[in-house]
Amino acid sequence: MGRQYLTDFELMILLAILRVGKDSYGVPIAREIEVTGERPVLLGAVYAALDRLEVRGLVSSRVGEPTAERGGRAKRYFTVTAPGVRAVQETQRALTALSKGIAVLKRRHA
Amino acid sequence: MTRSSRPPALPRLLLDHLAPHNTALAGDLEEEHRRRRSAWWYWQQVLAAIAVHITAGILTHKLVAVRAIVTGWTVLWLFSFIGVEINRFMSGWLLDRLILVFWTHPFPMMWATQLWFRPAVALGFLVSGWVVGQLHHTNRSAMVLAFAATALLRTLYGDAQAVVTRNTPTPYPLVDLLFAPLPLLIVVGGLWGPRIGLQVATRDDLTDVRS
Repeated sequence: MGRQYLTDFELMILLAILRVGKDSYGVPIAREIEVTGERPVLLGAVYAALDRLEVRGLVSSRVGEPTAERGGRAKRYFTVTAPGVRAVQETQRALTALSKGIAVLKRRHA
Repeated sequence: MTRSSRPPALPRLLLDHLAPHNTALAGDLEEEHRRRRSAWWYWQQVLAAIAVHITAGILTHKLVAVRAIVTGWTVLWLFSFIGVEINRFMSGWLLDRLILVFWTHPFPMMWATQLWFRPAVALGFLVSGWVVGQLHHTNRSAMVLAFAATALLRTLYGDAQAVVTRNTPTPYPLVDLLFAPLPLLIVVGGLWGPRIGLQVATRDDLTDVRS
């Protein structure tokens, strides 16, 4: 499989799943992005991106047990696959390489 | 803190019908609403989820969406032949009876100028939506809404043109405004009734059956 690059939102979602760990379903993933990314998140957009990532084989999902708190609906837990981890690394590498040597960025972070 | 109340019924209904097979998302939204979020937050999330679902459905099935729109307009065109007969009844026999019953009341005048053709138009939207819904099982809500959007745009364009050119001065402008969203009946028709034919079960459907 060739290199897979990610949009910024997809990258954030994969990183959020890796941070949350085994309890990664929609709510904690969205919360992680909201807290660390400091941006409001729409759960519908999170699921749309997760579906895309699953089709590309970058995440896998399994269905948990339904609970009363969720109106009898089950949680869908997500895991980043090995190609998903590689895609995160490649995207980060590309972003780092692109931002290297840009004076404006250096001044801002100084 | 966990609230005992369920989320508002209307957005739940909209989510179930306009963005079906999103059981996990619906569960997440309900969980968050019970824990800490407001009804306003729930509404926002549901409307956004529906918009995302519809957009993704259309973008991933562009040709099917075109087929749905063409089918819908074809049914509307075919229905116009039946509509002629309905209109004849509405502006003839029924109008005569209204005049007999109401005499000089303004309603028969409003019927004669503004309302007589609306039932046929409404029925046409309902039927065309239903046909599109039944012929497009995959992403039914997305396909029905794609067709409804074109009909709504066409209606709004027609109304705006009439206002700008002033070629159809109406004695009841509020009635026109009231009936502007009439193409939304396509959505009612499109999502109404059981789905005929085979359905591809999703992972979430299987979870529902197991639970």
